[in-house]
Amino acid sequence: MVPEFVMPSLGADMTAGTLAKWRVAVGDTVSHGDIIAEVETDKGIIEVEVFESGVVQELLVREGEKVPVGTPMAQIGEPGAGAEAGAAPVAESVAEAGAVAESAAEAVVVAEARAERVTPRRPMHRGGLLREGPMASPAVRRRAHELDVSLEGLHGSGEHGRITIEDVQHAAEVGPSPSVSRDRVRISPYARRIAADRGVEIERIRGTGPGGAIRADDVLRAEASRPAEPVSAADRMQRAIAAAMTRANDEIPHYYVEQTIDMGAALAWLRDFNASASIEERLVSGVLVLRAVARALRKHRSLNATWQGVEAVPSKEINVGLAVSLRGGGLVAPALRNTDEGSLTELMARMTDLVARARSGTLRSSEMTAATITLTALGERGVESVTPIIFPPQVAIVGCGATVERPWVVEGRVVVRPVMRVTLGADHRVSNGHQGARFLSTLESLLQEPDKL
Amino acid sequence: MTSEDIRSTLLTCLSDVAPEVDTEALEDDTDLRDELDLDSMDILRWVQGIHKALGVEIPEEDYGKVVTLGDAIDYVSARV
Amino acid sequence: MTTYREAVRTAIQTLLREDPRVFLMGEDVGRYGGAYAVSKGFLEEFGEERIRDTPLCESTFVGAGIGAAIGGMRPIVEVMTVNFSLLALDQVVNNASLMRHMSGGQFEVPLLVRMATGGGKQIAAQHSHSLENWYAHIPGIKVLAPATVQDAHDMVLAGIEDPDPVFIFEHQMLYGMEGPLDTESTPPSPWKAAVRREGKDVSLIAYGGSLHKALGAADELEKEGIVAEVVDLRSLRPLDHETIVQSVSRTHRAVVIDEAWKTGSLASEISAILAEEAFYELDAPIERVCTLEVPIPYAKHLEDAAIPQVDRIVAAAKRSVGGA
Repeated sequence: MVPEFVMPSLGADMTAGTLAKWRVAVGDTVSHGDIIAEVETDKGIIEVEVFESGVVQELLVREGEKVPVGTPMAQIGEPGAGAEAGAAPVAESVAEAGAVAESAAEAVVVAEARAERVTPRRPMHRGGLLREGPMASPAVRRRAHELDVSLEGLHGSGEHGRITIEDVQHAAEVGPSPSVSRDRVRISPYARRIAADRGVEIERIRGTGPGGAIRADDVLRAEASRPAEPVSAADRMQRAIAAAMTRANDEIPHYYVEQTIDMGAALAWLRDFNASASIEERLVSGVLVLRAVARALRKHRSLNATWQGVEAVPSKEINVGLAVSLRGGGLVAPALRNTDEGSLTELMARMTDLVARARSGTLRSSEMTAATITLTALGERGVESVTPIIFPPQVAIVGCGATVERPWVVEGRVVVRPVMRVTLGADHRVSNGHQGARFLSTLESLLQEPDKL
Repeated sequence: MTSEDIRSTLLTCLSDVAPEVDTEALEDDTDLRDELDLDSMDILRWVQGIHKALGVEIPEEDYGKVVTLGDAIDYVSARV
Repeated sequence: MTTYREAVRTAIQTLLREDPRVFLMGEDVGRYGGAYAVSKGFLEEFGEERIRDTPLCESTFVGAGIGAAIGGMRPIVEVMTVNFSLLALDQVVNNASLMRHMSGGQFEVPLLVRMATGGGKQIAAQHSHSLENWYAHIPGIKVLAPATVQDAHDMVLAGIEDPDPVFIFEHQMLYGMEGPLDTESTPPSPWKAAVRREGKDVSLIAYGGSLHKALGAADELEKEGIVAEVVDLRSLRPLDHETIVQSVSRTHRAVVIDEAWKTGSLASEISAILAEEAFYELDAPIERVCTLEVPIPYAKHLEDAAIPQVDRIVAAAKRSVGGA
């Protein structure tokens, strides 16, 4: 079977994406991690990576076409395999039928064998089978539910990208997928398929079938009562943010802890560093905070996790998502992988690149989904504190206000110090205020020794 | 190098950082941070761009001297 | 208008007249004119050589038919009912179905076996069961279930033309049914299912005697605004997957009606095909309306209660559509 590259889920609320541009052509060789397409989502244009290695055999989706998540977009074959590889099984089975007819020893009943051979063993129209979101059998869905593995965005190794039990088990072993898992929805297979086709969120549909099962009619009703598609990309993005934030506010019991941190040592160190560094290597204070948050998470793993339907699963990597406001309106929070590792100079370069690409709309798919916590810094405009809302499925978010000079007591004397108020918003289902307070305390200590960051 | 050349180079560097800004319409006394919504990282990238294009290094302590486009043109003109 | 009985008779008569290799054999087919009076008058027209009354021994005369077919004849064997045909299963399974395979393709068995099936006539358990699915299980033979007057005629002709053993199941309630018969036009392939009534809300999949109950249910459902599609399987082996799957892909709901017992029935097979090939088209669990798992009772009210009826099909369709 030729592996297929499917429209990925680039966020919990994504149901469909528009193929903006192919970055490969038929015959190109691709390997794991290559960017092969640009996909326009509500969050802007995202560069999408491929997880197969091989040769592009066929491009199944045209540029400009909008398709649901999970739709095969390209076939990636073994190097040297022709584009007709996909059709081979059919040809083989016909040839096989002929062989049966000719081989006396094997002859059963020729005419019947032929009659049965030509009857399709799979659903007739490709679209019918393939347009389903994550394609998985009821047993696989059940296993995924048992193991708390999210099928959204999970790569299927089965025929036509079907998710197999092994895929689920593998996913359970390697850790949670970054996208959110939901409680199992009782819905007919057909209704699930048309909901994916039409971009109707099944979580919001009221089922009228037996046991509250969602039927096709329920999907159509939900679609009819849905507000009209907003026109502009900015409007769509705002709606995606609205959906994510509404869900976060509805579902996540937030608690907040706040601490004012003395930034004197950090800023002094930064001033010295920048004075001696070349202009290309200059750092901004934000990168120190970013690194300190990541390092503090090493000690407080319960905040670096994703909520998987019934419980949180700690993330192996520390990937801090950076809230980047777009000047034209809108907000994205792409991830910096392994934010706790590498030199500060390197992190600065990665952050600069990430922010630039966020603003130019050329983020990669993995950056859109990999974040394990979010950092939002709004101090640039002078606000002193931020009370942020968690970005699901993450379980914590850190908000930083401006660094301002304030009277500060040091060893019994009032002095003027630059201070910054840091707020941790966290999911009370996963951690509690004590753990949150300890995290902030660790963060504070780390920022007192900036040379170790 | 004329003041007009410098102005044009600074605007090109600015476009690299904030492509959505209409540099044609920019007044010399516009506050870049407030009006154009530039943050410290944008300013750093702009300063880096100026350094690359004109060889003029603006140290951190002088960021306060390049608050508007006019300031920046004066600052760079004096050092180019 | 012609009766179903007359249509079968016309087809056999045509074959007997046109092809000297064709002969009819079975219990009471000669002097008595056939248990269901299909061959009345044949003995006089064609004589004892070609219209042969046999002893009450299914294994013998079905076996003789297999031998005659291998020998170049085109025998039509009538078995009184499917219950009795079980005596001949050894001949069917171990000889007829295997001959091509075991002989390495040297021998074919162009045999046609007809038999009555189904209940509803108050002739009790030993004459009323539906065991077509037993035959449909066997590779090497083909199984047809004509549900219309036209198919009753055409399938006899197709069965004789076919190089392999063909078993035709005639539902005993259909012999008196009247319908149009066209003996001039080229008949459609007997191996394809037919959509007897188009609809959009639910597919009623049936064959043989149950087809008419499904059509009756579709009439009832229409009064309540449910437009049912009715599919006649026609061929029970091979099964026409394509037509079934296409129908359900249009309606997204399936009710399978089968006069056999539910366990291990053709209705089970159809359900499995739909689960395999139309899973993502299904908007409701597949419904099966089959005979209750009891011997068919003699008493009229109990017999009616045991086998699928219009009201049970209507109820299943409504559950499926969601209105019940």
